[in-house]
Amino acid sequence: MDTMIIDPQVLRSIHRSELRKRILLYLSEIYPSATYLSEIARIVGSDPSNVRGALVGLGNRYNGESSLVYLGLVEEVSNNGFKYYRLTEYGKKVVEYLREYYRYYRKFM
Amino acid sequence: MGEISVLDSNIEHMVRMAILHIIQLGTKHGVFKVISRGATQREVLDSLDIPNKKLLLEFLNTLKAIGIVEERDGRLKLNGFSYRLDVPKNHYEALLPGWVAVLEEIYRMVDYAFITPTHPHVLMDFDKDADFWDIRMNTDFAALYREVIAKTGGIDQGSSVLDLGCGSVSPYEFGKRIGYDGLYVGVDYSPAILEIARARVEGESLPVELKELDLKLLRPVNEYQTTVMSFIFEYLKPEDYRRVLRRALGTLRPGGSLIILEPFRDNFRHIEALEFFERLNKDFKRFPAMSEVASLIADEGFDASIKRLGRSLLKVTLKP
Ligand SMILES: C[S@@+](CC[C@H](N)C(=O)[O-])C[C@H]1O[C@@H](n2cnc3c(N)ncnc32)[C@H](O)[C@@H]1O
Repeated sequence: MDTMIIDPQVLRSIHRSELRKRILLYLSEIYPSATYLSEIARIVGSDPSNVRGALVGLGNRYNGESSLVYLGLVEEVSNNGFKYYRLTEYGKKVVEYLREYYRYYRKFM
Repeated sequence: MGEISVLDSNIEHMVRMAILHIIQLGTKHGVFKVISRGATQREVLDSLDIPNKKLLLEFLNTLKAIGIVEERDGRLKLNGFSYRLDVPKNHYEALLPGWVAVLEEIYRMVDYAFITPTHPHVLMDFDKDADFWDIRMNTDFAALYREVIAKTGGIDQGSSVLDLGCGSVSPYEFGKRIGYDGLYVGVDYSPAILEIARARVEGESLPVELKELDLKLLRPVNEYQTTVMSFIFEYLKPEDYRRVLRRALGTLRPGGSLIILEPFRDNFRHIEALEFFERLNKDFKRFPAMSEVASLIADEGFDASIKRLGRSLLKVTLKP
């Protein structure tokens, strides 16, 4: 547990991005269950292409490098040709930190 | 191995690893190359392509303090430094992985600090980078030293504790330990660190009070059973030690004890290597010597016993 390094730069960048934050919070609510992209989009109130961007990256808005799957916070699971998304163990830890730092980031960043 | 010696061997290893990284930095940035040509300090500073000359100068001073480089006839010379990094079986079992990950982040920050001290990848400021500090104070190593402090200071159900420079994790951890009928007062001068501490403590109904205050301005109140100063002296100027110690001891009730935890410089050879990295925090001064702290306390004329526990722990107990 202690060797899983939490990068403050990653926490800060997620804190600044409302959509990625909302996706993580939703996936942590349903953890350890996985869900579809369209379901996530409906819950977080954004369109599926934006959600796809946040999850796996596309276009220039969310380049792959800051996408939640790329960062190891969310995993993509394929089942019968369908893709599901689930928070990873590591993602769960990051969500805990985001909650604890929420007020600090609001005030000091 | 007892907990105090586990603590000491982890600090010892931090220092040894820091030396290795100092050597790595000297190699990476071409410092040894220039020095091996027999340059003066001025020439080394001028010829290297490192914009942050102040940090470079500190780096050279570190090399001298450790004995990797010496200055003779105005020229810097490499003097065949060698040291051992042992991996003895019994010590290795005691090594905690958490601090390694954190220090690795800090080693990396030096490359950016060599460009400019305010580079966004340098995350050592208590306010601006309270998140990094919080992560650092949340490792297995921190859990160990808190356990050692609690046991040494008799912190338990119902205790009354004053923690000077409390950080963002101890208030929750000690608060839990003390339970509802005790009192924990944490003092810290960083509003950001305290904000994180509050977020942890809130909603847990713990007996925790947090105060934003520079500990140099502390009032002696004779109230607490245990006062803690853990990794704090390193941020104080040596000329302030006496005043701070007097006030810290003045917070105790008769029979109470002050617990001081530090990698004391007289007990860890080559500690300057670790100090080089810690100094990326602008408030860092130097690690104190155990002998200097102990003799200041004796000087102040408190009726107290001073116990040296291992290499990094001092326990000062007032007469009941
Ligand atoms: C390395 S941390 C140690 C925190 C805690 N004592 C622990 O051991 O986990 C140092 C803390 O001391 C605080 N600090 C440093 N100098 C201080 C001062 N003069 N007055 C109050 N707090 C101070 C910093 O804000 C920081 O939170």
